[in-house]
Amino acid sequence: MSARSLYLPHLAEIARVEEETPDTRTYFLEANGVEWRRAYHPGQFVELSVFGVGEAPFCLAQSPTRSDFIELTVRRTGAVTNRLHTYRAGDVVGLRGPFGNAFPFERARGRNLLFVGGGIGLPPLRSLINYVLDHRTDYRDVTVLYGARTPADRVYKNELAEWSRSPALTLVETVDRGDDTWTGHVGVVTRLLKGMTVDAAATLAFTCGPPVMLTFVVAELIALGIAPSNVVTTLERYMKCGVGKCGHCCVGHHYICVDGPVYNYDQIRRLPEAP
Amino acid sequence: MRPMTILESVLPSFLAALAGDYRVVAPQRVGGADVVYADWTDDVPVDLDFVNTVVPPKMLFFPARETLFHIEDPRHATLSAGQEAGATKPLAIFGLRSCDATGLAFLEKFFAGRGFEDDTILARIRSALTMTLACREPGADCFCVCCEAGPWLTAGFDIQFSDLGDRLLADVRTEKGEAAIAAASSLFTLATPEDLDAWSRQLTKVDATFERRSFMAAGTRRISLGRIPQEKWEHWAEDCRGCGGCCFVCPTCSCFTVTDRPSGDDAFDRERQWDACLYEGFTREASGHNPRAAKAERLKRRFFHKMSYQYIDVMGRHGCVGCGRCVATCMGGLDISTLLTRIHDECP
Amino acid sequence: MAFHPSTCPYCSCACALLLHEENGRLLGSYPRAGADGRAELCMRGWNCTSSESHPDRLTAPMVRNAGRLVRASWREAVEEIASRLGSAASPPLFALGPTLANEDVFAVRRLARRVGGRVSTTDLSGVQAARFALRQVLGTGYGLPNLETVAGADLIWLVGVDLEDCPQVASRVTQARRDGGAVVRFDVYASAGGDGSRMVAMPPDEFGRLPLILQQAVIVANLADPEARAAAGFEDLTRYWQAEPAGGDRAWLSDEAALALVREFRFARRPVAVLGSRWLTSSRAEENTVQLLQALVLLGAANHVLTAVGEANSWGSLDVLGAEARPAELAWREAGLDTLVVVGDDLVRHSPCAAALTETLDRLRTVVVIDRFAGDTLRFADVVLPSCTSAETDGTTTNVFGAVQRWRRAVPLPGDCCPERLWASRIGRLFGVEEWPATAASWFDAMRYEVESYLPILPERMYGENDAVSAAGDDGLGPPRVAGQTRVRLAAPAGDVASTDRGQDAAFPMRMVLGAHVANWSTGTVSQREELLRREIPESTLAAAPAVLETLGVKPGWTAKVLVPGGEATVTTRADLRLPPDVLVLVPLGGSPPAQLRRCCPGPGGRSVGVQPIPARLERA
Ligand SMILES: Cc1cc2nc3c(=O)[nH]c(=O)nc-3n(C[C@H](O)[C@H](O)[C@H](O)COP(=O)(O)OP(=O)(O)OC[C@H]3O[C@@H](n4cnc5c(N)ncnc54)[C@H](O)[C@@H]3O)c2cc1C
Ligand code: SF4
Ligand code: SF4
Ligand code: SF4
Ligand code: FES
Repeated sequence: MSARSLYLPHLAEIARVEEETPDTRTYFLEANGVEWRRAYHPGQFVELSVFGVGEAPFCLAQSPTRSDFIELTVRRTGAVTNRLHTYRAGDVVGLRGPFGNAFPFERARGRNLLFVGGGIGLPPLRSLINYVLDHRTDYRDVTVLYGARTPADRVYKNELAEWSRSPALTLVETVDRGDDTWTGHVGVVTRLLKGMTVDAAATLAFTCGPPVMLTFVVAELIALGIAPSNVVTTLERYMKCGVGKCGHCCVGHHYICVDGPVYNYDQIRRLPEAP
Repeated sequence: MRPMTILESVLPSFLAALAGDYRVVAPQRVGGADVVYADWTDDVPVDLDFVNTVVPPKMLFFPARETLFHIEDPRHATLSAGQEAGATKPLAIFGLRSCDATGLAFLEKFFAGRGFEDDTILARIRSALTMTLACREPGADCFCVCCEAGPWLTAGFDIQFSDLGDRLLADVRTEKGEAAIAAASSLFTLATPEDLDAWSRQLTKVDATFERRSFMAAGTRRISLGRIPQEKWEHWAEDCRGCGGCCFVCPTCSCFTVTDRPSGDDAFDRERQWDACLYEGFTREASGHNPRAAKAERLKRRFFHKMSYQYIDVMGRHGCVGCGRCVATCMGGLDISTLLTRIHDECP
Repeated sequence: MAFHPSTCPYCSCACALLLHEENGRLLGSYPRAGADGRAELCMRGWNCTSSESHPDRLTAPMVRNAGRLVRASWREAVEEIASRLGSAASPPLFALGPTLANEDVFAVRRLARRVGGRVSTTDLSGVQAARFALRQVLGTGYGLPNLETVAGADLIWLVGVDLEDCPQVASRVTQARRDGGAVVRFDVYASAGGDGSRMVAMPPDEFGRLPLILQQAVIVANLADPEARAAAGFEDLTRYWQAEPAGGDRAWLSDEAALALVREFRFARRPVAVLGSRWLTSSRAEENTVQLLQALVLLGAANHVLTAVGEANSWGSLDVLGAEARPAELAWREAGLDTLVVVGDDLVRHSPCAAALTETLDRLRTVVVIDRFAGDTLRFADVVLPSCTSAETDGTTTNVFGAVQRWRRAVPLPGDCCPERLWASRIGRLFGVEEWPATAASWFDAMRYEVESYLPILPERMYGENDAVSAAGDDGLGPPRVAGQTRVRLAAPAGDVASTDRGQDAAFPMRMVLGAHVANWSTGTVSQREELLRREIPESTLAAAPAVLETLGVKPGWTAKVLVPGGEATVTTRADLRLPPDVLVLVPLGGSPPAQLRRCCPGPGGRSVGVQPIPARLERA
């Protein structure tokens, strides 16, 4: 690596933009020049530059086994994301990565997998779900629970429809508030967990979503008998560099950008600060 | 190489001899009272009597603000090297204090760690010629002696100078140091046994003259084991004014933030700039959620980072070299030395 | 690489600092070692470098053309301004913001005189008025010599001080307390702060009675200082208090308690009274400040007073403008006004009564803006001139202790940016005045002859080659201090100080509150930090004293309706971590609060907010 390259992004052209929800879009980035295009792991993230505004971290939302593009699903929240939402196909962004550790997909082999996602928490899980589907025989039962605020807030609507038809996995969806067209469950995602029977010892659970949701979901998963070390999530911290230098993401002595963002709850419990 | 001596009066000639290969930096007084590391020129006397600079020499290697690269036409993005880039000569620092040399080694280790090397900073540190100046008299805030970082060193420098009155003794430890001396060999003579005697007497004497002692070990133990009640942190943190000064003046603090700043029509510089973990926004997330919203949490964080076993495990030493700068800059008495003393006294 | 000894522009402590420049760029601002071994700056001082490449930096003159501001040459812009000033129907008003070099204030005043205009400050908070009262009562020789006096005090009264506002004062108070000094806080918030200070918590609407209660206690207990006793008016005052004792039941400060307080203060060896933002911006601050100062004079403490507000420094404009420095805040609402020149302040953004102000700005024939940043006032500007930051110009600034200090140019002026004095002389030349000083030093010299207190300061000493700075970081020479020179006239409360309730409250229930704004600085992202750095006057904030809210049945978590100019807003109340536990914060509901409210609630991200009683206007939704 040459000098400066730690912070110097690859340029990537936007090939296509897909509207997921009113405030969330998926960006398909032309990544021909990016040597790690297929050499990343589910759970890793990139630093995306919107030049002139800044950089922000986003998880790689597609499995490395799929897509010729680098896919990022971005919700509008602040300076970088607002500007990005004005970008169209042909505009150029910057990419640095892939950063962070990955979901323990090796450890997941031969187990039942339970995914619990909330709202914008689906993208990181989706990358792993698709990875698992592409290596389906390595795993046992795959269950996906997904909750969104309203039907309109669901991301990856086409993919959800596909999953719901697929015999390879069980998808159960719920929304906090339904509408006229919604025929599925209504209520928070934890409710779906309540009545479930799981083979706790053989199950690895992955959950991502807003912090409040996580608190309840994790409590519920542990109540189902799943060991905290088998409950896996990603920690989001304010991140600037992604390479363990800027200090922003540091919790206790963990640099979440390098040592994380994927952690299980046994590890999280032992962090010297609340994450 | 055996210890050499050089007359103080010809020191400028030595620095001038280095100026071919190096950008020579030495402590200088500005505006009367303040000492800073600045480009050495013949006409400014080298200050040998300063205690230490207000801002540590890290500003030369890891500047308060620095362009990472330049951006034109952001939507289509042409990137080029920043305006400060380009081959500058390696630095030769004369008059580095022992604490700061130790701090620099700490920064080097940090910026090389966790699987990613920050080449720019590492190149600056690794190419530099470090000429330390052993302290004859510690300042009122100094406590390097409690931190294995001074007042003189046995390693971690290219040349260590010690002031013997009219002469300086040069203890040379590296090839780089030897080459530097060789470039001006006529200015140096082999140290006499009397010189060596005077030298060792001076070194042992200064160790005993520190006014300030700090309870590093006790602090480390109590911080690592979480033995300090939350109420204590909250009480102490009331005096934190959130200025960030303790981080900026610390030779081992390394946090930064990155922003794009306009530098012309439709052009920007991506810059990094020192940041401080004592700032409220340091960890504030896009949702508005801030895991360290309370001052007490931020203060605790700073001390955990500097002093805990967990970090010592990673970095090989604790993150304080006892330079005492935070003692001078903290408005609330929450510097490492004072607070560790309070931890020692108030939290058995 | 160069280091320029200069002064922090951000508040009236005016801390000495070193500007680190390399290749014409400012890399850092560092504290300077003081004689006492301290080297401190607050967050703003440490981040002085952020403003010069801000996205909103103005770098070229602009003239409005067919409704739009378009880039113009400086000649066009200056000629346009001159012709508009020349054809004004009534005397143009030059409104000066804080954080201007003394020389620039002076130059604008000179231009104003030349074109038959008037000057005022832009201050809407009342701070300037209160400071003016201070100067009126105590003269320029008043006050404390330096901050260390606070650190060495054995008794400190904090009157309406938000310590978060003024870190340097806060740190000295902490030090004094640690060394055994006693601290008494007079405030509308009942939080004792857990820091061992004693609290005199008064209901918001009784805040202004404090001085009279203290005065009475001194007189009635016969505690007055002999020098004050000799002063003219003392007998009147005594008669007044004997005739009309304030008396009455006050749960928050009984007569006995007041007596004990003044007794303690009178016999303290090194007492200090600090007047803070909540005091100086309270309604009728000017009148109340005069009364409070009278009480302190009676206690022999005229030279033990400090004002502490963490906002931009404007003491120099008091010296240079004299009586004109009183904020003519209502002047731009006057019917006849048709030309306004706003220098160095974003009036619209900073105004607590933006509706009334924008109405006026709309009506004016000419609005000229001279500023560093493109702010909200630009919407109304006909001509815009770009000015410069303190790191780009030479000049002097006067701090809260009266010390005249240097700003040194460290980096080149970007684009067409110029200090105001240069714009003023360019415009002035078109009015036939040729002899405008050319250098900062000659401006200073010219100023000395018109500003009495600067006369003894020789330009050579201020600007000479050898302007080595004293170790104390005291970069210049204060005005001469004549011991015991207090110009105080003691008078009965309704005496020669007119009530100066500015009527602002009638138009808008909230006063500008400076408190708690330092919270805004506390951000780690430079992007946000610099956004805030440019707001040199903090904005008004909205909140309510819980005691008042309680009577309306409002508790944390309630939804309430608040009247704002031009409508009402729905807010929710919550207790805020940063504020004392008994303060409720009003948080606008929903994604985007009404624009007016947001302007009044400038917390990070437009979310949180500060502190001022607005009792009658808060209703339960
Ligand atoms: C590992 C990781 C993966 C992520 N993956 C996704 C994803 O797939 N999709 C998605 O929509 N979002 C994701 N996020 C969140 C996303 O990074 C933030 O929403 C984004 O940084 C907001 O940037 P902004 O410039 O638009 O907002 P800003 O205007 O910069 O920020 C608004 C607020 O957010 C804070 N902030 C800025 N940067 C960050 C940051 N990096 N992390 C947290 N807070 C920040 C600021 O302090 C400010 O208070 C992820 C975050 C992390 C740490
Ligand atoms: S913590 Fe303080 S004393 Fe220790 S190295 Fe940093 S600045 Fe120096
Ligand atoms: S801390 Fe030690 S090495 Fe550093 S200046 Fe002081 S005495 Fe010298
Ligand atoms: S206290 Fe005031 S003068 Fe000092 S650094 Fe802060 S803002 Fe600047
Ligand atoms: S994001 Fe910079 S250290 Fe982790």
